[in-house]
Amino acid sequence: MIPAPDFAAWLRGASSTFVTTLAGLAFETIPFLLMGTLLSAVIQSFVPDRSLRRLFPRNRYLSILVALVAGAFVPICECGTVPLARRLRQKGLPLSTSVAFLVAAPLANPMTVISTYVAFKGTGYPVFALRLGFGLAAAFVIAIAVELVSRNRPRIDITGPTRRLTRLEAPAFPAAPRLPASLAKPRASLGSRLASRVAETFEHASYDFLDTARYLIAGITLAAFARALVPSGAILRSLGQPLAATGTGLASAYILSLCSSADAFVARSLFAPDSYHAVLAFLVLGPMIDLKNTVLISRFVRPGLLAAFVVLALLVVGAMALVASPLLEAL
Amino acid sequence: MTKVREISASRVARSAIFLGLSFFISWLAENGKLAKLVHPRMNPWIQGAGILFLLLAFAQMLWISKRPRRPDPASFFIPIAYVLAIVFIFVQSATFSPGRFDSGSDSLAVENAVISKRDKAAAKASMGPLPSVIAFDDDRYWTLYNRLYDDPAAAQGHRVVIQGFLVRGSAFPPGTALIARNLMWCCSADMAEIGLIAQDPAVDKFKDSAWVEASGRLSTTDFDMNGLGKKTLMPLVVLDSLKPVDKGETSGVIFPF
Repeated sequence: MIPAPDFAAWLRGASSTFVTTLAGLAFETIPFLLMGTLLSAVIQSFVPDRSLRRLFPRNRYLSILVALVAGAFVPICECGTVPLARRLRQKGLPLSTSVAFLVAAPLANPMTVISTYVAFKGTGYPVFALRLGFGLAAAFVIAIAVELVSRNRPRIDITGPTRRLTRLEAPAFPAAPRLPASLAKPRASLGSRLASRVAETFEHASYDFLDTARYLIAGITLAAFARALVPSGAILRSLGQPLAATGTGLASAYILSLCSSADAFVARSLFAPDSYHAVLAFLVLGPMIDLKNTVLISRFVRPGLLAAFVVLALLVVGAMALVASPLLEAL
Repeated sequence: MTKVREISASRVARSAIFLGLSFFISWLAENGKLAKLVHPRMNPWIQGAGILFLLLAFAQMLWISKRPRRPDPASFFIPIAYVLAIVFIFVQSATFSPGRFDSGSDSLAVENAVISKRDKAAAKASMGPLPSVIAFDDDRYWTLYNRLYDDPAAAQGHRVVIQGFLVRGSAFPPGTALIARNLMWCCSADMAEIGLIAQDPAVDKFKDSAWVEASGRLSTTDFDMNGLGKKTLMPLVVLDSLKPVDKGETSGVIFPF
């Protein structure tokens, strides 16, 4: 506990950490959330449901694999992938495919791979390859688990508690004006149709961003509180034993809620590069799920499913770090 | 033909929010305040977001129609444009030179060139010998910091001049403090204090976080920086002088990449 005479000093330090973390995370994540909602809106407006479903195989396991690969083509971090994954689900893709994309895209995107490579360059450990390989393997396991659970419930609706989102498709959407006669005609000109779709894209992006941003801000606030309350010395003290080091890596990744495009630099400075347990756990779990994203995803997913997802991710990544680290150390 | 426009209160509110966000981002960027919050390499993303917010604000004022049912060529061109954009971003990321988005400093470019070499010893050799007086300016801070901590013994006897704020950890004995700066990898949420340990009774005359300029001679010490019972060999500045300085315009932040 904090000794009483130092409480005022501790409080000053904690409030400074809180404000600094809050502002930093907000400016780091909001551009990516905006990109994510914009891409999601483009998919909604320009890609017909049938065309999107055609991109993914009917076999659900193959569909999961395609979703894992698709992550490499989305250059945004985890905040941006949440609205995209939700859109894939709304377009009729299986829950397991959406989850595979949600979990894999922040790990496989070019920014994460390159920043990890740069951060650990010169250490003699191929950390970027380990992160990508173990991350995609963990994502596959998680998606398969989701598939097995949801296989017999094909009509499961992850957006159950968020009926208000369907306002976008409903004629009663308050901001949507009446359709003018010229555009109501099926043979409207190409320019009119394009303008209409662009306008629709902006409308979806506006609504999605404002709807999602408040959850992101709540998540960031929680993460900033956690950061201010957890002393950094506590992280360093627990790196001795494999189990403690793995737990520290997982807890740090979850609480710090750092962007996947930069967390490798923090891992490099926080842990020794040969502390495989902590490094692997930190680098693989962080992009999949963290405190701010848990709050963000809670906007779209039922609490029970979200809790199961978080626990599953912690267990899979923790087990992987514990099993893989001794093998890597022996190399 | 009459255009149907419907400006609802919610649409005006959303437009105001987006306009506010856009102007706030522009103001932060214009006044250099973003540098305290995020790494300069994030500036293009943030300023891009500012422009997008502006577009969203204007779009809120325009009228929105339902999607026409017939397919059109846009469905074909949009994916192509997206692939081209991805390729562009990929190429930009792959050829990313960290110094490029910074203040045009040559030393950061040198740092990149060094890091790209495999052999660490060769990298050190290519940087040349340490100067007799090591001046920690913003541009060379990270490079010099790494060199001193990688091989503290090599720098023994050199004179050093360093500015920063005073930090006293719980494990620090009297007359000892860290002359620190904040190191930012991506945003202020991942900042960490780094610097050199200075030793002299004069240190105790200053309050924590006071900005000082320290000069002295480099030595080494076995020090338990975090109070974890694990001592590490690290550079130590035996102070000749310690004077207060005005923090001035500097944000106190060092960007390693």
